[in-house]
Amino acid sequence: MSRSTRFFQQIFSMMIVAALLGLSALGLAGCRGPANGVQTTGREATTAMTTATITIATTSLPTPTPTPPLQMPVFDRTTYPKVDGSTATIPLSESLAAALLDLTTEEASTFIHHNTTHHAYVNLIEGLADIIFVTEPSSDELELAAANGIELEVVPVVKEAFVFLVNAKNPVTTLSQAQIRAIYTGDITNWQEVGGPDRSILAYQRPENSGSQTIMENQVMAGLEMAAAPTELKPADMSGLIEVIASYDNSDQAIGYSVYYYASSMYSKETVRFVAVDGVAPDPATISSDTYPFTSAYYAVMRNDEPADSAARQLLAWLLSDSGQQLAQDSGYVPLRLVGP
Amino acid sequence: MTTAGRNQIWILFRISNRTQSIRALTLVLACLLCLSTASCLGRESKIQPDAGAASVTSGGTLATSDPTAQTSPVTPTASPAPDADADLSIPPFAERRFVYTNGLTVEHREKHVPDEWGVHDLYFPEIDGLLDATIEQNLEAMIQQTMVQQMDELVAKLQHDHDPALLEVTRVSQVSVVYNCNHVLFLEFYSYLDAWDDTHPAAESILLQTLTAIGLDLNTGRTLQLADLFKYGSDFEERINSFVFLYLIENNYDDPDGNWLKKPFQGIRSNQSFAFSLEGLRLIIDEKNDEFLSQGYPLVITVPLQLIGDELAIFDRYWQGQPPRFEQKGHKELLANALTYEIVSRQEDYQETYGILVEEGKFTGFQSSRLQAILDRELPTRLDVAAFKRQAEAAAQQQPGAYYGNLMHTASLGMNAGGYLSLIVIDNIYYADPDASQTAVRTINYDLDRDQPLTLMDLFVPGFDYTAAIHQALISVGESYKPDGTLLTAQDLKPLDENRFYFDPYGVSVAFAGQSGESFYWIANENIGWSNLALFSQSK
Repeated sequence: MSRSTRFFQQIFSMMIVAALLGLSALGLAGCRGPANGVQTTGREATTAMTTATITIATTSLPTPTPTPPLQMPVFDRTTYPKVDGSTATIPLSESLAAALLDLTTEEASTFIHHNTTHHAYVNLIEGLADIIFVTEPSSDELELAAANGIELEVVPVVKEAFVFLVNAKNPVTTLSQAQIRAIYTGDITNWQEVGGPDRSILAYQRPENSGSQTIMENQVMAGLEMAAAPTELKPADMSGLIEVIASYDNSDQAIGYSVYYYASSMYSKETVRFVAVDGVAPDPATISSDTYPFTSAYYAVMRNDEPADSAARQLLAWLLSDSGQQLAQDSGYVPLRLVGP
Repeated sequence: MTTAGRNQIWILFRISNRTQSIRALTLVLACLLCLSTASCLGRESKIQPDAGAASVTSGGTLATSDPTAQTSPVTPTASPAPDADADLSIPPFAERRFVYTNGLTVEHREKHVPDEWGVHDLYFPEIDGLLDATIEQNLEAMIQQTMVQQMDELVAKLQHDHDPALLEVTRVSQVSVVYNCNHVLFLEFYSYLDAWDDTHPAAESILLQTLTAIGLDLNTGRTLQLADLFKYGSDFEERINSFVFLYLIENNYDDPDGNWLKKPFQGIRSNQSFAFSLEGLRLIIDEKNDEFLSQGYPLVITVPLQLIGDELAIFDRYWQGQPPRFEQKGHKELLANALTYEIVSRQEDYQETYGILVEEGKFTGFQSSRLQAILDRELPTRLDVAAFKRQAEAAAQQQPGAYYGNLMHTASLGMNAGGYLSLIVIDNIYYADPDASQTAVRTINYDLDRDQPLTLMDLFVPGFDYTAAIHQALISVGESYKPDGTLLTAQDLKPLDENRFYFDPYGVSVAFAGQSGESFYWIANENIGWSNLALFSQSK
């Protein structure tokens, strides 16, 4: 079973349990009072119940009660929760630590240490971390948690998207989900079939078991078997991708994929561009609103026996607030909702 | 780390077990040695005593040993002004076939300096042949000083968290010449420190590494900034950034849970650390590139020369109009062709009693139909692979476990630079019975500019008696062996085959006329004389 499929099956049951027991961070935050979106001043912020609502709504759960303004939590290095996570969320953790501990960028970089997703889950389950910022748990990680008698709370904190790249010279600007799948199953092999020139499609894949390949298989292909990539399109070190995408010879034949967080670098514009999917181009607005089809998230994960007033919960609550979401946006992530310029 | 006056270093900190450390160091050293070997061209010269301290600042000039010069910051020199290149005649990169090496001699030296921490092993080039003795002396002093200073910083880093007195410490500094052409010199400085507690062999070791580089205009001793390499007004930064962006995707650095990038590529920095070689621009990823996570070893991303060639001024800006700067003339250093070769299929079948390896490749990046016809004819294997396999399987049934043989087809590229192509195609079947074994060798030598095959004669300047020179070298060097394993003697010498030969940047392999098989004899270019080789002579 794919990582995402397993995840969504299990997240559904987890969220029901969390909602019923009132133990989730979202639920707890929801018991605090006034409506979300109240403007605050100074170090106050609003909690992010809009996000909580969206998350719960996607799993057919009731909308929680609005929440009161939230004070920025006060930590020092000894009271700050033990944080771990994936590589891509390091800047998020560093920005949080810098903001909440009043650290310089360099100090925050030294203070924060992420051990990549799986190790972060292990550390959380074993009590070596209080909160982790990661992609969704795998079945192995959920089983490990269960074996240790631990239930996990999984809360989206920033958005992510899976994007498709073509050379800037490629005239094809949009593909449907079905067309993308057909390209990668090998049913569509010529750009002419999707409104482009009469040229064969070089559909690049990623190394087996890499993060991008896993997302591609789970989120995009959704169980469809990908065509075997020719050797030169799927070497161990991916050598050749540059030549094909960026070369002067056959660059307009290639298509590849990545995650928005990394691929949105301003340095991509001269060479490659994103393909709109079902007519929707990936950008912060379409990703944040889930209009872009292949959106996902990075999550905060805690043990659900985390006390209601614990440092980890305070940290999460602030991250979900407008201030926290603004910080995430300033750190290069797509926030759960756009909160500023 | 700013006092050395060079590109800033990145101190790479990693705790690993000792085996991993040694593997990593071996890999890095091997890479650096390859660079050094490929780039250090020259003759023997005497060892110079240590010169006084000198320093150099990026964008400044080599300072003298005058103490005042050491304490006063060198004023950075501005990048070339728009009119600075007015006199330059920079040819299109596609038409450029070579650059000239500087007339320097580069000899590898080593020192082992004992001190309170043990021994600091220093491996460095000794560079002679500059007519400006001041620049030469200060260059040598700068090399020595930089190695020591770089290591001092690693020791200081170690001392920050540990007591070196309680540890066994290995310290090595190595300097490599990575570019030495057209009046510009680029050096890379690599240092590593490996410390471990000898009383606890299982304890993790501490490995610190750093890689820095410096480029020098040998006319003035001024250090080069990145912009100095490019034409005025060039969009080199955009080109480099676009390349790196795709390089990161190609190498899966953008994996959401990889351990390479913690945030999107931020572009090269205004003070980006770099070196230059004929492979391309070497971006040294260091502490300034803080979106990269430390891998525990120096990370270098090479932007291929072909990608930035049309934007470069480095080959011309410091070369044209300059009076002689060196005691000797250099020779041609050939630039890589646009033509590329890649393996497109590989058939591998390794069984208990036989083995098969057939690699088929293709060339791209050229227009010549004549060359294409030659390649189409000569590149594919002429071995009956299926028949060999059938026979091998049949033999295995008759004599289980008995070795039958190996079949191999491959092509080896010797020269693909300067407008020249040379490769050797090998079809080989080795049987348990050596007398039944068979080898077929085909050579392809082509002049891409003239669009015609090369003969052996074409490799040499007109009038040069290359047959005599090669015959003499084969005997005098005394390293040529016949197929039977005995040394080649004067009695064995025969006229050379004009069409069966192949060559690389360092020498030529010849065959005697009338002899078939794989008997080739390699002669180094220096034993023929660089000036006698048309490929490398400045007279061509």
